[in-house]
Amino acid sequence: MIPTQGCFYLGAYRAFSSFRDAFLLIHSVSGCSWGALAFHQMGRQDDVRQACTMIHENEVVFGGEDKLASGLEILKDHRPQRVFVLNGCPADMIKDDIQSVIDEARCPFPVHWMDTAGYMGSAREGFISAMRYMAKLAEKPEDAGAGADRAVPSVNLIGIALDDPRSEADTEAIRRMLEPKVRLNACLPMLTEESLRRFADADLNLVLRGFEQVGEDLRERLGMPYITVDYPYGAAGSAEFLREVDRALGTDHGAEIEEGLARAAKAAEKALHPLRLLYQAEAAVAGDYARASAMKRFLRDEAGFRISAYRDDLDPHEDQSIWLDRVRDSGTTVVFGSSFERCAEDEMPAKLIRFAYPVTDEIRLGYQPYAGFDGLDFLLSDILSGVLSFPYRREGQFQPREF
Amino acid sequence: MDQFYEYERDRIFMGLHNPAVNHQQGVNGKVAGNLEAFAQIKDAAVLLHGPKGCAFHYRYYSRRRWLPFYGLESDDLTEAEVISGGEQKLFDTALRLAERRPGLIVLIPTVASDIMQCDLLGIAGLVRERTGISCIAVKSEVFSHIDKTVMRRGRREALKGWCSGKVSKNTDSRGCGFSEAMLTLAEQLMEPQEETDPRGINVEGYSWGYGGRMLLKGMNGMLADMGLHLRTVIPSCAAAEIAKAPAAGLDIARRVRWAMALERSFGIPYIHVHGFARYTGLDGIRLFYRDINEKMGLGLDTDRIFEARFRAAEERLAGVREAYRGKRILLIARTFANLPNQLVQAVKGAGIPVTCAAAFADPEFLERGDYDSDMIETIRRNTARAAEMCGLKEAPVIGPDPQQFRELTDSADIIVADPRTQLLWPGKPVLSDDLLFVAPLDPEGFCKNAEYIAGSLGALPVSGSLLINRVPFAPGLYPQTDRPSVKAAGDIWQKLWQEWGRDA
Repeated sequence: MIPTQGCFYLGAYRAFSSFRDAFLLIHSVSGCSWGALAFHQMGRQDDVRQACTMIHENEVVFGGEDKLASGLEILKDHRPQRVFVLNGCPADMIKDDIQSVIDEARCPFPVHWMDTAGYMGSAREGFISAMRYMAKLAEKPEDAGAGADRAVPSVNLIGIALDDPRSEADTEAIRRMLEPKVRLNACLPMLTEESLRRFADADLNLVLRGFEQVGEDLRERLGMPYITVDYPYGAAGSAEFLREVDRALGTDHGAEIEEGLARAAKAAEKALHPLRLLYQAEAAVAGDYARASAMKRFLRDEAGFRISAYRDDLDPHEDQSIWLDRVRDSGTTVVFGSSFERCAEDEMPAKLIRFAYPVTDEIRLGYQPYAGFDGLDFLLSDILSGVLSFPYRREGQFQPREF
Repeated sequence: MDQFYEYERDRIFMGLHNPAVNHQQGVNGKVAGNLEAFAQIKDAAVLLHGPKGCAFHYRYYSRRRWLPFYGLESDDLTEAEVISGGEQKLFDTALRLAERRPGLIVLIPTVASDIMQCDLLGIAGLVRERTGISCIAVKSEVFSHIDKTVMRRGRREALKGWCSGKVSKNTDSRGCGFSEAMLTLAEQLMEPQEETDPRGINVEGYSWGYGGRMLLKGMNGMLADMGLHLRTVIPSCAAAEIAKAPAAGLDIARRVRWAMALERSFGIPYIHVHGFARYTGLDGIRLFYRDINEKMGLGLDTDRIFEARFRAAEERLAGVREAYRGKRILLIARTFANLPNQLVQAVKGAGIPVTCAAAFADPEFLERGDYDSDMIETIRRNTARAAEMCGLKEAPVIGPDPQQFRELTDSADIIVADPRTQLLWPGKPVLSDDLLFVAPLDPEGFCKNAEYIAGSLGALPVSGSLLINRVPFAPGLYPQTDRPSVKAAGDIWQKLWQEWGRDA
C-alpha cells in the first residue's frame, strides 16, 4: 500500500505541536523528528519548537533513558513554558520507562508524556488521542466566568491543527463569522498557555465532524456541552455552521447569514460563466475526514461538481493507488487534496487544489482562508484559476503521433 | 534547455525547502538516502518494511529536489507484527506488488525492522523465486542515520586527500543511505555481461551540483570526441539497464564503494570524483579526460583531441576578465573548512579574479564541528595550496578580528559570499557563492558559466532595505532566527548527538 496517512506518532505530533507555547522532546530516532518537522514547516520555517533525543544503536542495546534525562536537563536552561515528550516506535520497543525519567527530572515546568509509538495506530487515531490528552489539561476555573463578558456566549473550536493548510486563516474566518454575537474562546489543539487557562470558560464546544470523542470527554469531565459541526466550506456550508451554533446557543446570526449569502451571490455573478461551465465537471477529493467530507459536500452541492473519486482517513489502511486508479478512470479536471496528491496533477491534466494536510509545496502567507463566507472568494478563485492554467497544447489540437 | 535554468531551478527549489536550516538541529534517516537512489529507477517498486508512518514520512523528502514526492509502498506493520514478526507480511506485500510486474522490487528496512532483525535478504530471495522478478534488499550498514564517527573519519581523510584524486573509501558516509543503496545495486542487481561495451562509461547519478544534468550532457559531448559514450547514469534508468552496467569500460563515481565493488567483481576500473577541486577550471577539465584516457588504457592524445575547444574557450574568457578589470574582489568562505574549495571554484571554476580570501575560524564553531588541531592544520595547508593554484597575491585571512574584517569588506568592490550574509554589508554588491556550485566538465559549459556570472555583476541587488534584513537572526545559529525554542533545539542536537559520547 502507498500510505495516505502517517502513523500514530505523526498524528499525535500534529496535535502537540499545535500548542504554540510548548516544546516537543521527541524520544526516538532522528528521522521521526525530521519527518514531522518537514510536514509542519512550510510557511512557518522559523517555527522550530522541537528536538530529538537521537536514539541510536547504543540506546537500543542499553536503553535510552539517560538521553531522555539529559534532554530534559538541557531544557531546564532554556526554560520552556511546557514540554510534551513524544516517543517513536524504538523507545517503545526497548521499553524505556519514560514517565519515571520525567518524574525524576523534577523540571520546573510541566512535562507531559503520552505513548505515541507509531505502530499503535493511524495518524488519525494519534491525532484524536493527543487532542483527548490535551483536553485533560483544561481545568474548570474556580471563579468560573469572572472577568469574562458573559453577555456574549463563547465557544471553543475543536479539530484544526496548526499544520493544517490555512489553519490560522480558516480559524480567523470562523471567528469573524461568529463574532461579535459569539466569541471564539479557544481552539484545540491550537492552544496557548493563556487560551488553555480560559478553555473551560466556553459555553459550547464546536467539534468538527469526526472528532466527537474529544467533545464527549470534555462533556463528561467538565460538563461542557458540544455540537458536531461540518467544516464550513462555501456559502451554504457557512450558513449551516452558523445556524447550528444559533440552535445550540439561542443566538441569531440571521443578518450575517443573509449578508454572507448576498456576498456569495455577487462572487458567483462575477464568475458566472466559468461556474456554469464547471457544472457537472468531475472532481476528486482526498483528505482527512473533517475536511474531505465537507469539501465533497461543497463541491457537489454548491459548485455542482460530480465527485469521481473520494477518500478520507477513516480507513487507516487506505491505499493511495486505489484512489488514483479511480481518478485515472474518470474525467477529473480538478483534484482537491494534499501535496501527496500531486501525482494526480503530474499524471493528468488535472489541477490540484491543496486543502488538506500535509501541504509542503505551497506557501500561503496572510489571510487567505477557504473556510467561512470569507473563504468562498479564495476557494472559487483557486478553482477557476486552476482550470484556466491548464497546460496548453502548443503542438496543436490534434497530435497524430499519439493516435 | 539552458544550463542556467537548470541551475536556478535546482538552487531555488532546494532553498525553498531549506534543509540547511533543519540540519542545525537534526538529520533525516538513512531511508531518505536510500530513496534518493531507488526513486530514480524508472520501473522499480520500492517497499519500506515498517509501520506506515515511516513510508508516509519518506514519501516526501525535500532534498530529492527532482521528485520530492514519491509513491513509496509500505507493508504497514502494526504493533502485533512488531511483536510477533513481520516477515510474512513483507513477503505477502511484495507478492502483491509483483502482480504489477515492476522491473525491480526493492525492500528497505526501517529502524523498527532492524531492531526486530528481519531477514530482508531472505525474503528478497523468496520473492525472486516465486515471481521471477528481480528483488533486492538493503542490508543496513548502520542504525537509523548517518554515523558520526565514520563521517568524521571520512571528513579527515577527505581533507588529507584534497585535490589528489586518491581519496579513501571512508569518505563514503555510511548511513547517508545513498552509498548503501548504490552498493546494494552493485552487489545484488548487476550481473556479468557476455556482450561488453568497452567504450561505454557508467556515471553515478548523484551529487553533480546545481544544474548537474547539463554537466553530464557536456561531459557526454567531450566523451564523444574521444570515441566514448555515457552508457548508464546509475540509477537514473530502468532496472535492466542497471543490471547490465558491468558491460561498461569505466565507472565514474561520486560515492566510491559501488565502483570498488564493480572493480572487485567485474574488473571495471573507476574514477572517484570525490570533490571537484581536482577537475575545476580549464586545466582541471583537461586533467579529467586525461584521467579517463589513462584509466581506460586508451592511449589517446586528449590534449590534441580537445585543442580547438580549449583554444576557443581561452579566447572567450577575455571578455570575462574584462568584466572584472580594476575591481577588488573579496571571497568570504562559508566555513573555514570550505575555504580551499571555494577559492578554487571561484577563481579556476568561475573565472572570478579573487583579490583576497577570508574565512572565520571561530574556535567554538570548529570544536562543535569536531575539527581537531591536525584537521585544522590540514585545512591551512590546503588553503595555502589553493591560493597558489589560483595565483592569489594576498595571503588568505583566516579568523580575522572585527577591525580586520571591516577593513577587508570596506575595501572590496565585490564580495563573493553566501548571499544570505549580505545583510552584513547593506549596499555592497554580493556575488552569490551558490554560483560556485556549478562545475562544468566541458570548455563550452565552463565559458558559459563564467560569462553568466560575470554578466550578473551589473544586476546585483545592493539595496539596504532587503526584507531579509528585517528578521532578527540568531548570531550563532544563522540563518536561524533568535527564537528561544530554536536555540533549545540546536543545543539539544549538539549535546545529545554531536557531543554525546565524545568523552567516552
